[in-house]
Amino acid sequence: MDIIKELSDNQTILLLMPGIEYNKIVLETIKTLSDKRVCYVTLNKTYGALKELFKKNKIKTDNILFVDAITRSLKEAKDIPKECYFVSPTSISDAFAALHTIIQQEYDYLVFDSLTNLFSYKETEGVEDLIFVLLNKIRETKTKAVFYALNEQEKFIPRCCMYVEKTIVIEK
Amino acid sequence: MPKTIMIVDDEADIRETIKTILEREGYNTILAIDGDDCLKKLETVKPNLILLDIMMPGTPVRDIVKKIKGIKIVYCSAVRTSDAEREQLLSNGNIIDFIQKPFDINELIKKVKKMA
Repeated sequence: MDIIKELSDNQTILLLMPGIEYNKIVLETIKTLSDKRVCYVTLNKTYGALKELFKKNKIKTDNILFVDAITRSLKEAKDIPKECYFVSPTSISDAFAALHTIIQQEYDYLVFDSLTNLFSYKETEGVEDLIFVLLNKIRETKTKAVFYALNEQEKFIPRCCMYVEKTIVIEK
Repeated sequence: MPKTIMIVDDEADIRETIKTILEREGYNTILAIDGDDCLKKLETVKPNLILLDIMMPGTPVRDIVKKIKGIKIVYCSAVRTSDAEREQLLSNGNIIDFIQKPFDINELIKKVKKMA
């Protein structure tokens, strides 16, 4: 898969992948995109964990702004690094409101990691609305967006396919 | 007397899965749907161990953990932290370990047996 080409043809992409391929795809994708300005939204790893993971895999993070919805769940976020926003871990609506503001800064790419974690919240019905609104906000910018999801979540993920321009299913 | 494990997770299937596994091993279980429910239940029960998810609606777990006194807590979550963050969390209060989701059943049982 040539993610740059896919994103040049489509503004919003959903990458559906098996769990076993997840870490590999995440690393390959960010490695490819990291030369440009990237807004990386994380719902399953802390900013610290991502920095550690990317460093270990020799991925530059100078151009990446991290939007971390995890760290504030675990600890007080003191000394917030300038390349990171710690958004509300317990209110999806607040996190998305912050995200709408952040994407106005016209990033080249937005990586959303991942819809699977988003759907693990209770407010499932509202989650779909939030995704729909976020995609509309993205369309108002020049930012290209890639959303990750595990292809094991049969109930919700097919509905999200309707909202993005292209869905790519990665096989094992 | 069987030991009691409190399972705190907002996902019902995860709660029920862990409950089934642990009850089969002879433990009593108490279920809580989030951190706030956990605190409410701790007013009347004192489990030997709490298995606590990290990403849940309601009060953030960092604030829940501060309010739990004298009970060992194991984070049981899909959330990944850096090594430094993990060390920091383990050195602070009653958090004694992490169980990474998706978990291996044998590893879960082994850890619970060791820590409860």
